[in-house]
Amino acid sequence: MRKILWAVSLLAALTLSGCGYNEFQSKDEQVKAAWSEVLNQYQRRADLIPNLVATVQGYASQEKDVLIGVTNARARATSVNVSADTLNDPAALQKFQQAQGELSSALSRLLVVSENYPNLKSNQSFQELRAQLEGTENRIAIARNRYIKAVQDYNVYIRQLPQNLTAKMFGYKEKPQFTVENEEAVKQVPKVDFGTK
Amino acid sequence: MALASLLVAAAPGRSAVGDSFGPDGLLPVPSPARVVDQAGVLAPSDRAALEARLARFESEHGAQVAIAIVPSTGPEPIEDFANRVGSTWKIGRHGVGDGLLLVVATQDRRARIEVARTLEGAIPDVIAKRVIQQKMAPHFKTGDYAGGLMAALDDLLPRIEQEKLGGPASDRPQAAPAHGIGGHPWLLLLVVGVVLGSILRQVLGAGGALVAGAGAGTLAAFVLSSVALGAGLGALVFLLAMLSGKSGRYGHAVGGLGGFPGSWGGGSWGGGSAGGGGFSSGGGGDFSGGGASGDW
Repeated sequence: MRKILWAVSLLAALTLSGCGYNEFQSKDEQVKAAWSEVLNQYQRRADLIPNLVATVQGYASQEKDVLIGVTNARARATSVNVSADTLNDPAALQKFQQAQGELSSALSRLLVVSENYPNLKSNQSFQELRAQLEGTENRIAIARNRYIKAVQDYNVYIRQLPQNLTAKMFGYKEKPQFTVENEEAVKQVPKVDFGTK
Repeated sequence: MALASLLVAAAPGRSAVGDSFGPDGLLPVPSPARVVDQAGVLAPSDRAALEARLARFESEHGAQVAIAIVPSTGPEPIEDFANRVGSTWKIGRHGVGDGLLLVVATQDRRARIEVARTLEGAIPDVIAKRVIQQKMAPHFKTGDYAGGLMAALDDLLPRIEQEKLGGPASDRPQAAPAHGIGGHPWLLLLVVGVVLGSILRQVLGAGGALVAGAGAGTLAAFVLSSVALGAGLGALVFLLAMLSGKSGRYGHAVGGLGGFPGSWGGGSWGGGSAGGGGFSSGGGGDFSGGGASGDW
């Protein structure tokens, strides 16, 4: 009798680990870690902006609209926070993405405008800020890619048998995925202007 | 008909830009080496000098630096290609992660310095950018790739040196743990399982072996975090325990096992055996986008 009891309890332990519970924990943690890295890099970008704006202002103060645009977009982007624990909310993620996307386009406007100011372009600290900004954008792209892969890994896992049953039992849901950063901008046909003067 | 479809199928491969791109349109990651020159722009003596310099630097300071020269990265930005190479090679010491990768695309006239996380302090993006603009670009403009790379190394290597990340490769622990019995939990579980199983088999009969098999299997499933491996190991333990019980001496199966693990202990999986001119990545570098790119 006792032997049977032993065998049954061992079997139970075996099936619990067989239903992927442990794997869920580790994949979930991977998604969170990847997300923290995304946040980290976006924060790094936000930290660069005040210096960048101040430098550009010194040479191109007449570009008020562009400068204010960047400052406002930065303020909006930093006010939207999606912590690793609230990651499961697609609406929050969408809002976060949108705010960061707006900041991206405000920044690229600033960089385009700065091309018109040779003194600004040759300014040492502007060049350095630009290099840092480029590096940060590249890090953001890689962090986003790694996050997308982690979520994909998690979502594929959660939909397979028998893990989907475990997921139901413990209330795990699929995680929302990143989409193209600024869908409207991608859809827009670029305007070609040959500068007919 | 069959011939026609064959020709059609063969056509895209032929007409692709160059012949070095993979089916996904991306340049495949070359196999790791200190200096990869797919563009063929380095004279053999220059290449040897660069290789020797990087090998010496690794043996003196530990950090791994590699150079990859390709004709073009195709439609893929050099940043993405460099990161793919970095993430695949993972150069840099295991546990330290001090790797640095210089990528040059000669036809694209673009270069990138890809910095592993550990070295982002020693070589910030701003410095990487400046090295490309001031050291590489002037030489590259005249087609002197070796000179540009040497000038870049003159600037970069001392910065890594100053970071003081600890001694060379021989001082560090082996990259992969020596594969003794401790390195193989399944082996330990197998041996212990069989010994216990055969004892239980003597005392309880077939049920004893079953219990030992199930126990070892469960433990293995947890330790190895794989149910399939655990089940396999459990079955093996059960089988061996049954066999050993049959022969009447529970030492038998274990004795048979004892014969072969002797050669198991010493195997080192070479993380740092760079001697003899070979190059093997330390596997520690985490390339997450640090560095800079520039053109000339």
